[in-house]
Amino acid sequence: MQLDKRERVIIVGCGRLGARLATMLSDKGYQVVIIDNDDAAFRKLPESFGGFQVKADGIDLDTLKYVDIDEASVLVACTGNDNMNSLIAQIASRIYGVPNVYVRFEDTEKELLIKGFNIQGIYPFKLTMGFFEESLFGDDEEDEE
Amino acid sequence: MRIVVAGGRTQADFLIGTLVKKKHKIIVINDDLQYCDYLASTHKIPVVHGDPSKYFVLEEAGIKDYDVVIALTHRDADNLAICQYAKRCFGVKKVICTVANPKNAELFKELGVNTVISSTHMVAQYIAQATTVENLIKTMSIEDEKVIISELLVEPNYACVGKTLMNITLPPNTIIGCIIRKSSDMIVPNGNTEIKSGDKLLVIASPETQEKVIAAIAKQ
Repeated sequence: MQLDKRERVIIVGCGRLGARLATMLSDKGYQVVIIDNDDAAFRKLPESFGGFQVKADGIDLDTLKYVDIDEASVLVACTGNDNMNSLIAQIASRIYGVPNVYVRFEDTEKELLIKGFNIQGIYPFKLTMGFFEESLFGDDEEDEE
Repeated sequence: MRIVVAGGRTQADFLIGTLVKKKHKIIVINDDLQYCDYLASTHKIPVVHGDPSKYFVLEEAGIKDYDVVIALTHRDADNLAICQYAKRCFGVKKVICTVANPKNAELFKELGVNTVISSTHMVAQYIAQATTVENLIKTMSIEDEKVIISELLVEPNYACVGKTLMNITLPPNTIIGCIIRKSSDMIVPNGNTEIKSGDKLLVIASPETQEKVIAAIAKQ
C-alpha cells in the first residue's frame, strides 16, 4: 500500500504495538492520531512524538467522529480487547468506509466476525506459529519441493 | 422457541425465569462460575460456563440453528461479538442485545443486530415523557418508538368531561383505545362513549402527535 504523507492514520489503543506504530509513522512524517482511554498509556510515546494524542473511549462513536474518522485513510484497532477491536474496525470499515482497516486479534476465531468485510486481521498467534514452522521445518519443506 | 441467554446477572435471572415458565427451550451461557451454579439450581436448567463472546464456547454450548440469541453482558462490544457469531456462524435468525452506551443502539442495528435495547435510553425517554404532563401515569413505546401508548387520568376540570368521543377533536393518527373506569373493568370506546372524571384513558399516538393529543384531552 502506498500512503500519501498528507493522509490521516488513526490508531486506537496505545499499547506497545499502538505506541510503536504511531511513533514510526509520525517519524516518517505521516499525520497520526492515537486514541486511548488511559492517560498513562501515552507514556509509551517518546517526547518527540509529533502526532495527536486523544484521551477518550475508542468505541464511542463521538470519539471517532471527533478525530474525523470519515477522512482517515488508515485505521488500526489494537486495544487489549478483541471484541472492542472488532467493533472499532467494523465502525471504521462498514460505517465510515475507511479504505485500509487493520485489526489485531489474540483469538484467531475472531476472524469469523470480520470475514467478508474490507478489514485486514493481524494475529500474533499465527505469526508466532508461522515463525516456529519456518524455523523448525522451513528447510524440510524446501527440500520436499 | 429455542432461546440462548448469554451473559448478564439479575436481568438474565429474571428473563430466564420468565422464559422457563413459558416452556421455551433455553441454553444459558455465563462467564461467572458461581452465578452459573446459582442459575442452574434456581431454574433447573443446563448452564454452560464460559465467555459467550468466544466462538468455541458458543459451539460447545450447541447454539446452532437456535431461534433467538439474547446477549446481556455488561460490555457492549462483547454483546455485538456474541450476536454476530450467532448470526454469521450458527444460523440464528434473531439476535437481541442490551447496550450500556445508548449511542450504540442505532450502530448495532446497522451492524446486523435485530433488536438493541438501551436501558439508559428507555429510562431517559420514560422520564422525559412522564414530565410532559402531570397526569401522565404510564407511557410505553413499541415498534422502535413508532407507536406511543400513554395512560392519562381525566381530571374533573377537563373540558372533555361529559362529552362523547365523537364530540372531541383529536389530532390525526391518534386514538383513545381504551378507557379504564373504576365501576367497570375496561371499556373499548366507540363514538357514543362518554368520558367521565376519574377515567384513565389509554391513548395511542405517534411520537410527533403524542404531546398534541395529550394537550387536546387535558384542555380545561
